[in-house]
Amino acid sequence: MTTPVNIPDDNELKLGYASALRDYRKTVAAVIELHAKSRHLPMQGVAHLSRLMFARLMLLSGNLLRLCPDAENEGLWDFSSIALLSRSLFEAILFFRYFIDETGLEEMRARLHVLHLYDNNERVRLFKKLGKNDEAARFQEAVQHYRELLKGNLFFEGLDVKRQKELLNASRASLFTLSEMSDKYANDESTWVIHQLLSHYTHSHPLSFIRNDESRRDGMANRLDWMYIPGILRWLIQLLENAAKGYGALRIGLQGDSPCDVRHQITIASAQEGAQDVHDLGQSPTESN
Amino acid sequence: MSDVDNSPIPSADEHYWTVLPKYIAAIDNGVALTRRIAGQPAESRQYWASVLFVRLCSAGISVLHLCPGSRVNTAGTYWDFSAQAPLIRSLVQTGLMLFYLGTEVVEKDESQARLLIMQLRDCTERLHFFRNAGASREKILGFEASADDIRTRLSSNQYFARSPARVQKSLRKGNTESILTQDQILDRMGILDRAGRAFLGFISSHADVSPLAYYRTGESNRGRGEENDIDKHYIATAVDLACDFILRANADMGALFPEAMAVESQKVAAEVGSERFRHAFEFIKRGKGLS
Repeated sequence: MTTPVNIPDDNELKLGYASALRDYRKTVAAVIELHAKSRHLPMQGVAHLSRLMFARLMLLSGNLLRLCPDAENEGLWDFSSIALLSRSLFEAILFFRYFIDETGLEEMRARLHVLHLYDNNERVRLFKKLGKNDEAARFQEAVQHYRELLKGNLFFEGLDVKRQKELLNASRASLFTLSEMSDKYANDESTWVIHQLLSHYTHSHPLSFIRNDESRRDGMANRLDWMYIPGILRWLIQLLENAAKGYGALRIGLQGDSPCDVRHQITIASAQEGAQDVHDLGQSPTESN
Repeated sequence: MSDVDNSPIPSADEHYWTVLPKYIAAIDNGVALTRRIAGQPAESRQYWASVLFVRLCSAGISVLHLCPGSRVNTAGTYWDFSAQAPLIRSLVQTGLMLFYLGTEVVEKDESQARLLIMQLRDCTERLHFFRNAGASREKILGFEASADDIRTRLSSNQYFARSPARVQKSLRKGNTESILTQDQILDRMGILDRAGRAFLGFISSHADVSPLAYYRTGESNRGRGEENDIDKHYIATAVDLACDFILRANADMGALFPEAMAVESQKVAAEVGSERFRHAFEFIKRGKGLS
């Protein structure tokens, strides 16, 4: 990344960082408060899944806060780890938005089938790696089950053949790619570029260490981190606020409304029709076993 | 681990509080070593080893920030394996790169080829990134010229020239940072057995937004950050795995910088590694249905 022409002095950078951190802390506090309101509400199906996802946003945003030192702190400044959790948080926000989308019944069913298919396929891979073929075979049966459900889904039938093939191969957990979800839920030109930058830190790619300025290699406070981190925090503040708005608008009792959101209705209708995977989502893992 | 294996799983508390002090000691040794190494004259291999070693230690301390009850997280508010996963995966991969670029003893040509492949990857990553960010044509041309220069230097490298044509063609694209795969590097390190590698895959799934990270987490007090045995076991197992890489790096760096201070070798034998992963897989199996 090029150095800006008009470089602020150290004090300005520190103030900018402190201000962004303060605002981020407030946003995380609001997210925690919203989560606390919802955690004891009875929820089923997609609403249950959205709660799990919102809890994940709370945990990731709170944990990210733990990695951000105070502006004057002499402790560890580890941009790579901040980038890693920021990326995880961004992706979790996209998935959260994906699962609280208002869609038709068939599309929501398709989303859930894709999720189950991917989830079970991951377990097949895990147990195969362990050489536990019996376990893998049991999950493989579930993979086949969800593959068949997907094939019989009207919304899925309307997708183009290439996408159908990708999804049947359990190549991802969602109907859309991350890039498509980014366009849909975080419609901002810079978002995908920021995501790409953060992704360079995910797998210890050379970009995360090769040309690190000497001042960024020892974990001490430095000008580049004072510049980069506020930008990322402000980006996340916006995304988290939008996610919280979406969660609040779910009408699942968070604002005293009747807990009968349209997605809730979809769940109930699906359960009545015997769509096993949708029904299962409203149950605890023990109950579904 | 089998269907009939019903041996008791040790207490999560015992597991976690056994692993954490061991991990802290390893990190402390690593940090002390970085201070001894700082300022030492270094050749290429030593230089990259020191860069990656500092990165490893930084990542290791960040992991501690998310470990409830550690000295940098005394309040211990969140028990959340999913947030630990990306940090631990990164730490492990840094450990692999440290070995691959810095501490493994290989011939000079091979060492040089490894460095060039890593630099080519860096160059193509930046090219890709700046293109998408709408950077100037001049900047793009600069990265393309650098990539071509590295490819030319690769062509004159004896080790690279001896590689199969198919491999050369693939590597020249700059799509990978290493000649060896992760499994091949692990084989050379002799550090993780089959169960360990499977658990590393499990960590990796949690690091990305896989359903494994959130789906079916509502049970057993999970998914909300509250103290629970499953996350505690997973965190302990992952931290233990990370500890292996830190111990190994400490030992290897001591050998690479003998003048700084020799560190007694603490290499972990692969055959003693699998038992500790067994308990984690029992949770995965029991908690994920269809049983």
